[in-house]
Amino acid sequence: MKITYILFLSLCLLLFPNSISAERPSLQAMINEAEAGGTVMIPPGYYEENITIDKPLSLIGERDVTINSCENAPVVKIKSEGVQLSNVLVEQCNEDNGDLAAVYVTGDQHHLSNLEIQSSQMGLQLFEANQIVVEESTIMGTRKENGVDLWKTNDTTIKEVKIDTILDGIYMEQSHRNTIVQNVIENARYGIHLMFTNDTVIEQNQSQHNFTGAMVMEAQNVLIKNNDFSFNNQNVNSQGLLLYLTSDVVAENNLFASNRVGVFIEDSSDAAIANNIFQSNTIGAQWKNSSDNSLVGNTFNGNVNDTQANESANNIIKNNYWDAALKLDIDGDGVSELPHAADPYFMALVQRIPEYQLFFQHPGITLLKQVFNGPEDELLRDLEPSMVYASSENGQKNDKQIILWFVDVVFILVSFIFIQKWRRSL
Amino acid sequence: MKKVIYFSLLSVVIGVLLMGCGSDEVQPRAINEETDKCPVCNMSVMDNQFATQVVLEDGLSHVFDDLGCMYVWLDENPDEEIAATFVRDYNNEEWIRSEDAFYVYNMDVKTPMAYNMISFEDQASADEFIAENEGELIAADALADHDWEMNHEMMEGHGHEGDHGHGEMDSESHTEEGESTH
Repeated sequence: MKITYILFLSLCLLLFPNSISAERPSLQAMINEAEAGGTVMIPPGYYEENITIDKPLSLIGERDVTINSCENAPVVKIKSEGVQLSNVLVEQCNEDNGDLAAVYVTGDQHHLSNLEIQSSQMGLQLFEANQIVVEESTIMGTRKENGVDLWKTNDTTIKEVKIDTILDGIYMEQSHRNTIVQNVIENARYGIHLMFTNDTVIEQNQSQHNFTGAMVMEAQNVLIKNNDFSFNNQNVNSQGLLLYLTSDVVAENNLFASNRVGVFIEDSSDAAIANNIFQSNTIGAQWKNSSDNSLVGNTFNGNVNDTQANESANNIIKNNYWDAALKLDIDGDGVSELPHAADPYFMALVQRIPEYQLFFQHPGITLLKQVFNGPEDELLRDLEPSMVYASSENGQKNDKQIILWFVDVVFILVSFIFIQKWRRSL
Repeated sequence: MKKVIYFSLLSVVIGVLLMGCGSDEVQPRAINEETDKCPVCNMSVMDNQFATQVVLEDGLSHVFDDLGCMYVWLDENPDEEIAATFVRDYNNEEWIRSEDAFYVYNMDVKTPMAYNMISFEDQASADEFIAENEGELIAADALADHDWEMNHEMMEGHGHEGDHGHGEMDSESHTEEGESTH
């Protein structure tokens, strides 16, 4: 008798949750039933389906809402205009189609917030969309495809999005007047990647531990301000920021720390690089075939090589602080009387055969450099180097300094005690 | 006497071996996505159908992420001694000598640097691609005269691109192969 009861109970338990999910309408059915302009609150649950939102609608997860799909289609597809999607976890697990995005957005004026996207392919794709806002979200990928991919998408803001383990963090092509602020991008090939994209604002982002912090290619009128491009040093071609075929780029108050190359500027003109901190990079700023740019008021501190340049004449370089420069200020105006020059000889040498980097600072190279000195007009020269060191506002560094001070004090105390003991024992 | 014969035989054998070495075909090298960078545009070179390669007489080779980048490089370095140039078949990604390949120019194909030129090992597969996707067949010897320009539509003003490109494509499925290569 008992056994029958137990069997009956366990059968009930098995059936009970199933009966609930069977009664629960599908997400798509809820969307279809809702009127345009209305709001759908999604009850907590795990929804295994692909949904399409094709009318103005607010779709908000109450809590613990997961939408999952491994089908060959975006998990969430947003069309029309004025769609709001919020507080939802989206899982894309398709392994075959590399062009597939977890969330695909087209149309205008959508608002996406508090999303958690986990994708085996692309995270969020904005395709011919305008005036979109994406904020306070996370995107986690598998390094195969881009985190956020913009194609012909304009006037869009991407704010406070944390992007990890993807190909390019934010990839923008033929997309204009977009704003990228306060995002954190790590473990990407390129953190931020612009192609044929104009009037972009990149502000207060953290792009670290990527092959390249930001690749700005074929772009005009880009403002890059108050960003932290650090620790982009894992790859032989790593750099903090790359400008290629750009014009009118302003990069100011950024921190370029511990990169292979802080900033690489190639075939670019009218870039203003001002008041940045270049710290502990292998090469601070590297120039190639770039003219009419300016490098003013930056601080170069603790770099293996401050700058290297070739075929880059007519750049305005002044008032930078170079820790490696010989400095002499006679009239006390905070500007050194001795010009500081960067010789392109070594760079020209390793450009053809990169393996020659092994000879960095080799006495033979120094001798060769003196014998075959580069042409005068190719030298990168700061005629008015600054005497004043702008300190890094990097919190991490301050923390480290405090620890160092603490260790110092402990060492002094311990050695003092030892000396005292030793003297007493004599 | 025997020694002399042995030595002469040995030298003949070595000579033949050395001649064999000398007549070796120039071979393209494999691409390492981790370290290879296009010397023109600085992008990582992905090991895909858009990669191209120049092998120099001194054994050095340069790999490019886009056929257009290779032509920019060839144009900028006319004095380099080039042993061979290679492109890849769009379908099977096998290396082919660039002079033996057939090319298709199609504005809808997204190549890494938007030069929109792809290569095929034979004319049949190029024709097949054109039949399916449109495009213009370009002979290998006409490539140097091609106007290598990136298709970025920037000339048309900011943000208001014309409707050219992507006409063939279903904008929702967005299934062009080039997409993943940027």
